[in-house]
Amino acid sequence: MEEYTIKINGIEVTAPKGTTILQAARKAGITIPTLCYLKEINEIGACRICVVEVKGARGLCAACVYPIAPNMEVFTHSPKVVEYRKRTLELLLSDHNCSCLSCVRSGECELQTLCREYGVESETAFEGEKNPSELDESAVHMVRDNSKCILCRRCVAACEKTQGIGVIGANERGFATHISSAFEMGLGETSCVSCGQCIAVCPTGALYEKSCIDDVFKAINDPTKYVVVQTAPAVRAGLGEAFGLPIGTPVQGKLAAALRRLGFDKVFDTNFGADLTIMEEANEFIERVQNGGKLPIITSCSPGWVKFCEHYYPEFTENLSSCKSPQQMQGAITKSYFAEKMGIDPKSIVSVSVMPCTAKKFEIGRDDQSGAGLPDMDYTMTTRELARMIKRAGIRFLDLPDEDFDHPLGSGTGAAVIFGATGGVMEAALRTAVEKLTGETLERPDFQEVRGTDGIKEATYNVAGMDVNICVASGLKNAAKVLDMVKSGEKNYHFIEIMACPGGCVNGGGQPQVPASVRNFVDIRAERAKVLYGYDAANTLRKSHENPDIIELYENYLGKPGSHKAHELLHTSYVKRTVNKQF
Amino acid sequence: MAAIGSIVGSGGLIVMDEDNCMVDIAKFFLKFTVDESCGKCTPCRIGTKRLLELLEKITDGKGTLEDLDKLEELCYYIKANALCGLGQTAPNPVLSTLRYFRDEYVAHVVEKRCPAGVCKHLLRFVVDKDKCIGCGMCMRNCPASAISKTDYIATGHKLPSVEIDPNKCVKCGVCMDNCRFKAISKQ
Ligand code: SF4
Ligand code: SF4
Ligand code: SF4
Ligand code: SF4
Ligand code: SF4
Ligand code: SF4
Repeated sequence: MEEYTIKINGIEVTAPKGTTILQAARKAGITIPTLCYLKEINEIGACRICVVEVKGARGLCAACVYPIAPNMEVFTHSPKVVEYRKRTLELLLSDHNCSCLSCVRSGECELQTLCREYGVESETAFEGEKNPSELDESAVHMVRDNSKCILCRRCVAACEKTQGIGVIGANERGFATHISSAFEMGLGETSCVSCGQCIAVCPTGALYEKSCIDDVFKAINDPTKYVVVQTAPAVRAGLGEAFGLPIGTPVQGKLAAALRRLGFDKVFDTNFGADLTIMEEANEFIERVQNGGKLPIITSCSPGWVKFCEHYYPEFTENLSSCKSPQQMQGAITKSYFAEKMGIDPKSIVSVSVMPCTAKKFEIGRDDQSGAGLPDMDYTMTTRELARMIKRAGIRFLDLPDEDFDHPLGSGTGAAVIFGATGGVMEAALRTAVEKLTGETLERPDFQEVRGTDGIKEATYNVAGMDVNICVASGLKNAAKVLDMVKSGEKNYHFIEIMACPGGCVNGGGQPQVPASVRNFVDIRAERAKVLYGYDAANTLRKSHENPDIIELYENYLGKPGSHKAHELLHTSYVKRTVNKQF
Repeated sequence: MAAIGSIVGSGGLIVMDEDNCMVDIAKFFLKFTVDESCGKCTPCRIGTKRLLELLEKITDGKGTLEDLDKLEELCYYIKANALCGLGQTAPNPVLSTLRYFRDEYVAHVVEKRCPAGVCKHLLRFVVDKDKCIGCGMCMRNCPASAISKTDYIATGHKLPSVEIDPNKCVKCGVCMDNCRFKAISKQ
C-alpha cells in the first residue's frame, strides 16, 4: 500500500494512505484528544476537540477524520490549537451541570480529564442559558441525565450502528439539540433491549446504570438475611481496570477475596451456573436434533439478545433455548438445592450477582424466573458497581490475596469461564454435546473456529456422522444479519450462539468504561477474552459435565438434564413484544 | 464587500442610516444563524448561542469593555472551529460591525447609551418639567403607572409637572405620543 511521510510537530511519520492525522499522531507518540470520535461507528468530526493546524489549510482540521497527504505538516499542540481546545471545553461547560462532586463518573470522566489537562480554570468562563433537562429514569436498567450530556452522540452510534436498534437519537436542533427517543418517549417505553452499550461508550456521567449498591449493603448488614453472591465469568477479566490494572489482567482470586471481605455469607461463581446451563442446553440441542424439534436452537443466556429477539424477531422465540441464563439457574439452585442442603429458609436468602451486564437488571424482573417459588435473583450489579462497593468499603483491592470461591456453587470448568467471550457458549456446548453424541472422549476440546472477535463466525463439524452447522454472532446488528439469512433460507444452521454485546460479555454494558483514547486503539474485547481463555487452558476440568459439583447436583437432586425438576427450576418461557417507534 | 470586511448576511446589500443600531443589526443576523444551527458541532451549537447572549447583554446595558474583547475572541474561535459554512460565517455580522462601528458598541457598554435609540433597555423617557403643563394625559395612558406628579410648578403653569420613574417605565413611548406639548422626549 502507498505510504506517505508527513511531519507532525516536526517529527517525521510514515503511514499508509488513508491514515487519519489522529492515527498518524499516535504513531509519533502524540495523543490528540477526542470526544465524539469512535472508530468506525462515530466518525463525525463534530465535537471539535481534535482540531489541529495543517500547514496551508484554511481553518483548522478535525484530526479524527482528516486523512494524511504527502508532505503534510501538522501542528497538534500549537498555542492557538491548545487555546481553542480550552475554549471548546469552556463552551461545553457553559451548558453542563458541573457537579463533579456527586457525579457517578467523577475520576473517570473524559470531559473532566480534558478540562484538567487543558487547564480550564472556571466552569463559568461563559455564562448563559442552560438547556433544561429532566432525568429519564423510565428504563429498569439505566438513567439518562442530559444535564451531563455533551452531545458527542457516541451512545446514538452504539445503539444504531453497533446494535442496529436506534431507539435513541438527537431531537430538536441548534442549542436545543438533545438526545432522547422518538416523540420524547422515555427509554423504558421504547424497545430498548437494556444492553447498556450506550453507557459503555459514553464519555461523561450522562448515562449510568440504576444502582443497587445501597440495597446490597443493607442486606449484608441485616443479621436476618443470608446474602449469597455469584459473579459472572467476564467480571474477572474487567474488574482490575477499575483499580488501575492494565486491560486484560486476570483478577479472579482478588475478586473472590474482595467479595468475602464485603461480608457476603457465601461467595459463589456463576461458572457453576454456566456449567449447569451447558448440561441443560446440550441436552436440549440433542433432543431437538433427535426428535425433530425446532432448529436452529439459539442460545438464551444473553438477556439483551433475548429481549432483542422478542421485540425485533418474535418469529424466532421458539428457536430460543428454553434454558434460563446461568445467573438465573444459579439463583434458582441457590434458593432450592443449596437452601435445603444448608437447612436455610430460602425466604431469608438474598441472592446477589455481579455481572458485566445491565440487561441482567431487566432479566431479574422477567416473568417465569422464580424456579423455587421465589424470585431467582434479588439484586444484580454491574462490574462498575462492584468496584464502587469495594472502594466504599475501604478494601485495598490490589493488596488482596488470591482466594477461592465457596462450595458447592463456586466451582466451574474451563467450559464455563469462556461463556464471557463470544463463541464461548458454543464451544462449551460442543465440548459436551459432541461427547454425548459420539460417546467418545474429546482429546483436544478446543474449537478454534468459534473463537476471536469477528462479529459473525461459522463452522461445520461432523459429529457422529451428522454435519452440524453452527454460527456465532455478537453485537445485535450482526445477530440481525444472521437471522435474516436464516429467514431467507440462505443459511441452514443447527445451532446459533448470540450475544448482545460485541465480543460477548467481556465487552458488556456493565464493564468498566474505557476512555476513547484507549478504546480507539486497543481491542478491549480481545484483551479481556484472553483472560478467559487463559483460565480455561489452566483448568484441569474443561468440560461442563466433568464438574463434580454438577454431577452431584444431578445425582442427588435434579436427576437427569431435562428432568421435570430441572424444567421447573432451570427453564423459562418467552413473550412476543412489539417494536416501539424508532428514529 | 467581503474584501473590506463587511460581510453581514448572505451578500445581499442592505442600506442603513443612523436610525439603525449596529449592535442590534448584528443581533438580528446572529439570531438567524442560532435558529438555523443544526446543533452538531460545539462551536456553532453553543458558541453562537453565547455570542448572541453577549450581544443581548450589551444591548441590555449590562455589557463591559471586557465583554467586547470576549465577543471578538469568540467570533474568531467560531470561525476557525465550526464544522460547516453556516457556523464558520455566523460571526461575520458581529465582526464587521465591531470593525466599522466599534464606537457604537463602546457607547452601549461605557455610556449605557444606544446612539440610534433602538435598544429599548438603554432608552430613557424624560419629562421636561418646564414644558409640562401638568395635564396628566401621559399619566392616564401609561400602562406601567410610571408617571407621578411632582411639587414643581413651572412659571406660567397652573398645575405641577410630572416625572417618570425609570425603574417602572417599560419604554413603550405612549406618554410621548400622548403629550401635546412635546414635554416628553426619548434619550
Ligand atoms: S460528567 Fe464529568 S464533568 Fe460532568 S459532572 Fe460528571 S464528572 Fe464532572
Ligand atoms: S441500552 Fe442498548 S438498546 Fe438501549 S438505548 Fe442503550 S444501546 Fe440502545
Ligand atoms: S449521553 Fe453520553 S454518549 Fe450520549 S451524546 Fe451524551 S455525552 Fe455523548
Ligand atoms: S452479551 Fe453479556 S453483557 Fe451483553 S447483554 Fe448479553 S449477557 Fe449482558
Ligand atoms: S457549524 Fe454546521 S455542523 Fe456545526 S452546528 Fe452549525 S450548522 Fe451544524
Ligand atoms: S414610556 Fe410608557 S411606561 Fe414609560 S412613562 Fe411613558 S407611558 Fe409610561
